[in-house]
Amino acid sequence: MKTLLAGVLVVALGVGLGSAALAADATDPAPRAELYPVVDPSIAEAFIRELLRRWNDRGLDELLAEDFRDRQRLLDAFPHSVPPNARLRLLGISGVHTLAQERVEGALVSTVSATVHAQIEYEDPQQGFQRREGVGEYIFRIVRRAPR
Amino acid sequence: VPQTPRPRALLAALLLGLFALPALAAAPLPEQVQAALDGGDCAELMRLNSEYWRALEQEEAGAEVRAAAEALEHAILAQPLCGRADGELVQVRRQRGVNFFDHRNPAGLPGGGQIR
Repeated sequence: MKTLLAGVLVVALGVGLGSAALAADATDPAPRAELYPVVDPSIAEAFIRELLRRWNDRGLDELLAEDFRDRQRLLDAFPHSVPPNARLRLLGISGVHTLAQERVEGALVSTVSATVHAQIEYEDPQQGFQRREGVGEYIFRIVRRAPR
Repeated sequence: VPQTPRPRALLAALLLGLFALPALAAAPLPEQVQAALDGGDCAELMRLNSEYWRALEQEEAGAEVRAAAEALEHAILAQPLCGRADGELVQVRRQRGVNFFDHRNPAGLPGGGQIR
């Protein structure tokens, strides 16, 4: 994973779930119970905003997973399929859910789902201002690390 | 006549050993680490985490340093807004309207998705 959510986190809140997880560990003599909090909605929203910003800047490359289907085709499509002045605007995010979590070396990898409502807007030389909406379920991975 | 240990004595010794194991394994963490874990301050946890993982790279670092580093890392990841997050899009399932991540027509243009 090569991406950065600019300024998304490194925040020091989270006593609630975090403390609960640690408390469970401290009292459980069995192997450490891997209880981790679900992805905070603010992190999911920051990712979606960054994703749309990159779409607008034609810089999606770093935010598309290697296993994104037809990844290269999507990147290649922009010059001839997206009007140069087209902009995506976020209209809403709902239903943020953490689908799965995996603890890997030095990080917590979460697979997240969110319903995203967005709108493309651009000026057509013949037809004037155009806009089209789209709603989809976005599946993405959030990797949270404890920098070493 | 050589004495053979009685089964009960063997069982008692085994049980004692089993109970002693967790105590031996769970060595106390360094004071500043324990204080940071108790306090839960993200910035302090991150600072110590870097410190202890750096220390682990040195050959003479022992099990106590490793235990502290792992405890700090766990504490950071156990806080929902602590650490550094990166993200990547895996898939978009269209529900209605345009799928802006469909290579066939990412802008939803009429007439096949090509700019005129």
